[in-house]
Amino acid sequence: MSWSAVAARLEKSDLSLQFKGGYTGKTLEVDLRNRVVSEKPLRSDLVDDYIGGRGFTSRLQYEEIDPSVDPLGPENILIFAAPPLTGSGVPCSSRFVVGCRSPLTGILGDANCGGNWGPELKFSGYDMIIARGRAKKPVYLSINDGHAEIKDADHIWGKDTKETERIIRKDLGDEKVQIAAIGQAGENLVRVASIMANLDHAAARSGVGAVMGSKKLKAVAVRGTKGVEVAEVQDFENAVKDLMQVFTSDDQSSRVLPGYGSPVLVTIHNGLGGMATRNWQTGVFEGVQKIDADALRDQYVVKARACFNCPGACDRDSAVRDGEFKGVHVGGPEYFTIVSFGSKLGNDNLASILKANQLSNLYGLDCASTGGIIGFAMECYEKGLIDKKDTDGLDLSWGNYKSILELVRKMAFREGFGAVLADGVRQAAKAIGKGAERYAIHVKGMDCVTIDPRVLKVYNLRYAVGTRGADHLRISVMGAYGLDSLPLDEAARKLKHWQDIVAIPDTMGFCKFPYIFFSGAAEITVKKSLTLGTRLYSSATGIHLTESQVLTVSERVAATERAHNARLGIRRKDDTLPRRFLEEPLPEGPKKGAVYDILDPLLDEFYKASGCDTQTGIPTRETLMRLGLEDVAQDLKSLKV
Amino acid sequence: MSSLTTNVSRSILVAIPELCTGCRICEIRCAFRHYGQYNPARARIIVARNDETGRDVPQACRQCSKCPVIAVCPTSAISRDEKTGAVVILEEKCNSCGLCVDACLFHTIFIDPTTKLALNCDLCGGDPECVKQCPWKAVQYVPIEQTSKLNKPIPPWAPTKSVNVTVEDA
Repeated sequence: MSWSAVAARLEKSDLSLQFKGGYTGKTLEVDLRNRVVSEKPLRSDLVDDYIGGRGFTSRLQYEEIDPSVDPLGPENILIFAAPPLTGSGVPCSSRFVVGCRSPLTGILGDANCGGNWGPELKFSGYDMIIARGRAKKPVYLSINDGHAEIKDADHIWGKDTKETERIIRKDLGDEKVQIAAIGQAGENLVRVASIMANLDHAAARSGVGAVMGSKKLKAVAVRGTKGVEVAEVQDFENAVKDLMQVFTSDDQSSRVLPGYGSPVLVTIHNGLGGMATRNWQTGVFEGVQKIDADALRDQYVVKARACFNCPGACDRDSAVRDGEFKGVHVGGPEYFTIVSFGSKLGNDNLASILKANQLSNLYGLDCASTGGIIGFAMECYEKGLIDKKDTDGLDLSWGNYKSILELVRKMAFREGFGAVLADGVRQAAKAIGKGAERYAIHVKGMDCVTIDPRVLKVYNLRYAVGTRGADHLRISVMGAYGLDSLPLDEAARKLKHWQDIVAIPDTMGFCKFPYIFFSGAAEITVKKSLTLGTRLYSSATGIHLTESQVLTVSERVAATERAHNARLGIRRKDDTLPRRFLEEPLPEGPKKGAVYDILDPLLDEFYKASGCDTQTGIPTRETLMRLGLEDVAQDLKSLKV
Repeated sequence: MSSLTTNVSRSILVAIPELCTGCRICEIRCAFRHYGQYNPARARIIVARNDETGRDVPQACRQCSKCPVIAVCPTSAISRDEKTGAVVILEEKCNSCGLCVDACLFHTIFIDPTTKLALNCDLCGGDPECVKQCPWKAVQYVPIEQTSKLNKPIPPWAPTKSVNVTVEDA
């Protein structure tokens, strides 16, 4: 976006506004090249139009990252944003968002993460960190109650995330410091590298870890004692009480979530016939009972663990007590990790899945993408496109977990065949050639993660229209599973409405699992996220929004993201699904014979419902004007988009 | 009777680490109860979270019968609450010297980052907020004679194997 456009917008922004609650009102600017940190006031226009979190990261990506910028070049910016409710008295308020141009997809990138790091950033006095440039040598950032310092990281460069945490805690002489760090994968610019917070919580998608590595920023350590102010305490407390009442009276959030965590979806998705198996060749996995939530709980779960202020406790603390993988200990696995290192690879050895999870966390790799890429490689091996000469001698037969674990390591260190896979599934398919793209199950470069679109068709349009690639988190709500029975126009409107609801946690800072996904009914999801979310935000910040204003912010975020991608050349043709889903019928299961045959008519309706041009998929000028995005409309016009 | 020791029958806070998920709700609600603020740094109970081992241990004053900190306080700010037996610190008298922090055997006296005064669990006058708010009963308020026989509920994440035994196994 041109400087004059940004300047015009800044005119509207009140930089001296004192925030009454929720926001700290301060942004930390970090110039890595010159090793300078500075404090800036939070822009009130961002607060008014985008609330926070993903809203901020998406807006700033639009404003600041020129279309020509290389994601791994110094001009890319890396934003850590802790939304307004993060760290507050709101239950499950643990989240923070990392945003940057994605080196995996080349378009908009962000990743969302729980744990205790986001709240600590707020306690230390900041809503956001914006890191620019590239350090001349490895550094880490240390923030302590409003005092920020760039420190040398030569002695931790090359270390895994656990060792990094240990060394930084020792350096700073503080056991309570919270650390977000990259492992070797981020350092080696692996395009599916994650940023790990509290060892086992990952800002994983979009390859944000590689951008951190490209900046030679090894870690961000934060510590603070300020807490989060709340503007209207009595109203806020009442809203929290009402929310807890909904949580505790709903079996999904009070029993299923802590009892099983996300792995409960293994059984559900396999039952629907849509569990990604052997690189999505089928939707039913014969070894499902060996890797489902019961198997995990009965063999390996030590305890449930929770992120900051969460009564839900969906995280697992898992340990392998005997056998080949004795001694493996990991926070997890999540559902998508079990699928990505399990059924997707034809692997029913649950202990090896825990091991793969542990290695991914130590090296700093996105479990979902890493497993997805290995699944692609295994299918190429099965179909004879590659053989042992290409794989450094590894036998990539389905279920060969020894090879899987070795490939995880090779990817992190870009060693041999691992270097081919380290650039993501789209690039790997190009490198292998011979029509390998057919087996690369991705959209816009990001691999699909959870459920087969042929099973829940309307719901899984989310992979096609996700603004950061094949995305399972922009629309993630069990309430939308049933849309296939509706006429397409009505289904598309509902899907778009869910997209607006599901964006609320991203902008406000609470967690999608207890607020959105794990709900006994669709109305409960809406009550928690929209009705109570609006009350919590309004009372916490003193900025009173209506529910319809909150939904408009969600629309504005999505429109900004679509406009951002349009500027990078993304059009309707890119909002598609892998050929496998469009052409190959599911071979077995309750939806045997199903292909994804509604893409074009459903896209038409979805674009109409979202105010996008049906030819291009770009938000129309009217839509942008309605959302108050004149500057974006002007920018697209001047670029002839 | 000296205020240094107490023989009063009383209840104390007991933590059950295997039920603690490390959510820190106790910290947040403790600080809110005492200061009306959402700031875990001002809490009188902390959860020692260890992400490497996955072990989470809530820690707060054990209200020892022979509390060593009462005697070391140079300003006599620390005394025993007659009703609850809690070791309480009078903010007006505390001079932030930190001697009590060093003297506590269990390292459960903290310094309030806002006021710089010493913080100790006061059992909320006999109705501890952390106990009421813990979702998993990982912090309990029990008579001191009964601390060895706690009521430990089975959490929802516990294995079900024992329930699902087959006839042959039984």
